[in-house]
Amino acid sequence: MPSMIGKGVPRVDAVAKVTGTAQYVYDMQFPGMLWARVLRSTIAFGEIVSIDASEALAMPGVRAFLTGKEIGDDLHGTSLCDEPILARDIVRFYGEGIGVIAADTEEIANEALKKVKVVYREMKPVFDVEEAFSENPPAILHPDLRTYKTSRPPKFIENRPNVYHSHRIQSGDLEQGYTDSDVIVEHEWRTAKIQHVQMEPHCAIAEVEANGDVTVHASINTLYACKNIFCRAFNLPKSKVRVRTYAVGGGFGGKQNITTMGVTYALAKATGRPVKYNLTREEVFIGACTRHPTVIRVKDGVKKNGTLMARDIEVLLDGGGYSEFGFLVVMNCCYAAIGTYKIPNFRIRSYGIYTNAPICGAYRGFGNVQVQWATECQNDLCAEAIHMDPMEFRLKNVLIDGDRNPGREIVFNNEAKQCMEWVEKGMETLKEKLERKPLPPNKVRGYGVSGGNKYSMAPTSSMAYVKMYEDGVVEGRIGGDEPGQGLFTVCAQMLAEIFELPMSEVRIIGGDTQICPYDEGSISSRATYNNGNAIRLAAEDCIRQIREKAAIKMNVPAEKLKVANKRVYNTDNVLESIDVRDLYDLNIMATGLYVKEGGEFCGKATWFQGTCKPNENYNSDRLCSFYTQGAQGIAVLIDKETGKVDIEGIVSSYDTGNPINPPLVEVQIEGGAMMAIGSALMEAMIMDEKGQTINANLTNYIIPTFKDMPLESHHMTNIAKSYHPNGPFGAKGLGEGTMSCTAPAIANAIYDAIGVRFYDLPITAEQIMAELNKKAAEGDPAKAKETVEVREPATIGV
Amino acid sequence: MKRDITLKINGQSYEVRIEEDALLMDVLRKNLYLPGTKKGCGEGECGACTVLVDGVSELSCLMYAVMAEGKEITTIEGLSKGGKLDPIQEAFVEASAVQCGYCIPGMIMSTKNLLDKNPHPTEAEILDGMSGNICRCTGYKKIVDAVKLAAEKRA
Repeated sequence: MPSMIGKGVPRVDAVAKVTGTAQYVYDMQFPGMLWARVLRSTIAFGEIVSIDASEALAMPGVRAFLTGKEIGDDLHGTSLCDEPILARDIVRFYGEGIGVIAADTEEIANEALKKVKVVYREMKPVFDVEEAFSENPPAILHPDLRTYKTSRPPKFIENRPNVYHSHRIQSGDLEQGYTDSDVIVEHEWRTAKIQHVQMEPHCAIAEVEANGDVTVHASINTLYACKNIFCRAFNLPKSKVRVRTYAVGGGFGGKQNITTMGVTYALAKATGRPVKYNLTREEVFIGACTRHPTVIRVKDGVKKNGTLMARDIEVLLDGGGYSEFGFLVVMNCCYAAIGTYKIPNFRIRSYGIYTNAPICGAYRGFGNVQVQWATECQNDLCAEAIHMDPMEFRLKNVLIDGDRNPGREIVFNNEAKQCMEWVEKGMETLKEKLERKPLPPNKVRGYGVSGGNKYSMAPTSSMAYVKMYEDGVVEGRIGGDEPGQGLFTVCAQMLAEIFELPMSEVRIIGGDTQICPYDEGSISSRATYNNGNAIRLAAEDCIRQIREKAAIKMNVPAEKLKVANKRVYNTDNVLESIDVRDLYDLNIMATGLYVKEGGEFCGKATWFQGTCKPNENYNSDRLCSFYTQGAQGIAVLIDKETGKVDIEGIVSSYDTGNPINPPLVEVQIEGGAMMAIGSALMEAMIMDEKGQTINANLTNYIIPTFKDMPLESHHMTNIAKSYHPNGPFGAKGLGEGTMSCTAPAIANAIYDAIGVRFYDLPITAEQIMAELNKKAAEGDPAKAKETVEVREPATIGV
Repeated sequence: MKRDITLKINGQSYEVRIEEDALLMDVLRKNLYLPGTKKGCGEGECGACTVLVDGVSELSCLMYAVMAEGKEITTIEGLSKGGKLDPIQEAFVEASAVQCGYCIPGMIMSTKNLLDKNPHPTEAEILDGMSGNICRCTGYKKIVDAVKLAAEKRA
């Protein structure tokens, strides 16, 4: 049997998806189902004085209306419970849900919403994250913050009332590091508010049975996290609640909120009917979750020989109205700065800050991508300050196995160097290809590189069941999510490998808390590593049971037996084997098989990935499961008359451990790069002075299309040779890391092309034109480089 | 105003009572339980709802259902015949062009529209012909591969 590992087998769900038969919750309808629509606030901050829905309720076909107060939930959150399902007394951002209607059709619900009258008492909002962070902010969003329930205690900052959590990792002696440096490079970097734009909008259908049992069908990317937060919000016993997912039309971290589950449950309870809520595209922008805008200050100290001596980072995360998964982003974003480079003197401090804006939560990288926007641009500035090639600078400081990183972790399975070297060579090939043709008129070309990493969370655990049916087909059950990344396919490949079966004889069941065991979700790039290990262990348990049974039947010791291709073999004599069906007994009607003793062949297992306890500076031998590593080079072609940036070439190399399915790895790398191109050049949610998002649609919020990709021959993707010693078949994870290199590589390429350094994302054509015009006015040729800002050591931050 | 209309979809006739301003996308998805045609934005930007009307691609979220009366509508459900995938569908599977899959029915319908008109498109023509369809997962490269492979399979 050829190995199934490292093989590009088709996805297990591909045929369903190409025939339009894959089930998505957004498409589903149940008999007797009502449709919900959410009433959204038209102010950014203020008190709800009254809501009058009497006219709406009088309309034919309208079945119920509930206000935030009537939903009946406790405040919820990932760790800090600060968020109601719908606002009750106070609204904290423009577009926040304040009431919900159920009607026979979506159209009636929409009409009815228009008839609800709301009276507000407005308060002065705060939109600017630095103002919100200050000791005397214009608005305090959660005056009761310090009394909220928590499951993991937040680190508040005294006198900064809008900070909901903070984190710090520190090692070495910063001041000494700067003293020992020849050059100090210090800058402030910003990123905009962006949205995941999953193709399937968020949605849920809730059903409540007569005995109070609850089933919620939802498009989410964290099955158990959503279930647990939902149960806590409604004080429901875990055993009474079943959460189901189906095909999920994209997640990227943005489907972890329980709003759709909460409103549909409350309405289903109130009406006794199944209730569905589908978000519109506009609501996806304002009513789901976004990526934190950031202000990031970095101060680097570098020696002339290229040694990075010190790095101090301060991250302000603009969290919006509620903390949600942003609570974890505050802590997790810090790992970005410790994953790739050796930095003997180091500090990163991060702050999650409330502002009157739509909620910010997890977004492909948990803040790591924003932090690396800053640090990877800084790396280029450091290299330039000492007249070193940018990749040479990175390679000089890159971590290799056996080093201690700035969090004092012992580095292992780190192939960052290999990725960088591949990209260095790949860029030579790309340049050679591009420069064969003369440059088009009025265009200028530039090249940029970046490193990048993403850690994966720990401690963490996944569980699995693995069952063999009497026909020899093997089924794995996992609680991990399949929002498109290919988890079910790689887990099926692992089962096929272990049981030596073709792909058609294995399957993965997921997305149902009633029949699938606990998992922490498809977050933190953790799914393949953790679910894969759980599947591997549960498969071993199942095989143990089969061998023990077969040992009696064959009169051969169990340790001599091997299970393969629906048979059990004596490894001392492979001619001696039995069909797995021979392990069963025929029932009295002669219609079926059963196992006479011990029950079905059903293995179960828990995979737990631990860490070493961090000290007060958050240093430890091991803080996480693994690091995905990567490097990327980008070629840009800039139109000097319009400022438009074309991505001419992309060269990517990522270390994801041993790839279980290489084409699935490549498509993640290509997809992450494209998403990051959007964040670098196009995407920003824009709010007016009242806090209303004015481009909450795909007409004015532009994301990359086919027209934004380079030609295929200029788009090279490499999977590094790597094997994680704790990973299932050596695999680790990938999804988030694929976004880490792209924006800085683009900015570095733009700088190479026109000599203008951009500090804020996105870098739009208008901004490029403005800078080019400024240069033209100064009589500066477009290719001339800016002098790098080099300052004396100075204190930054607070 | 309700109206009774007959729609011809994937070679079969469907009688349906709808509001005059009902969109073809909603009628397919909600009234006729053909949810292979996806709703991604409802405003003509994402291409997930692409169907063929008399062989030409249309965004069903921008078309009233009454306008499709008397025309041949093809949706993703009508592409595979007798359990056998259309060569375009096969190509998407083999090229690993599918991730979350929500954009894929629209992508496949646009591919059909492109290849029916231009059986051997250049890479630039593929990018042009597919540019009305958005995918957030794949980065498009493997979808371009799938379109090229589909063209080969149909040749």
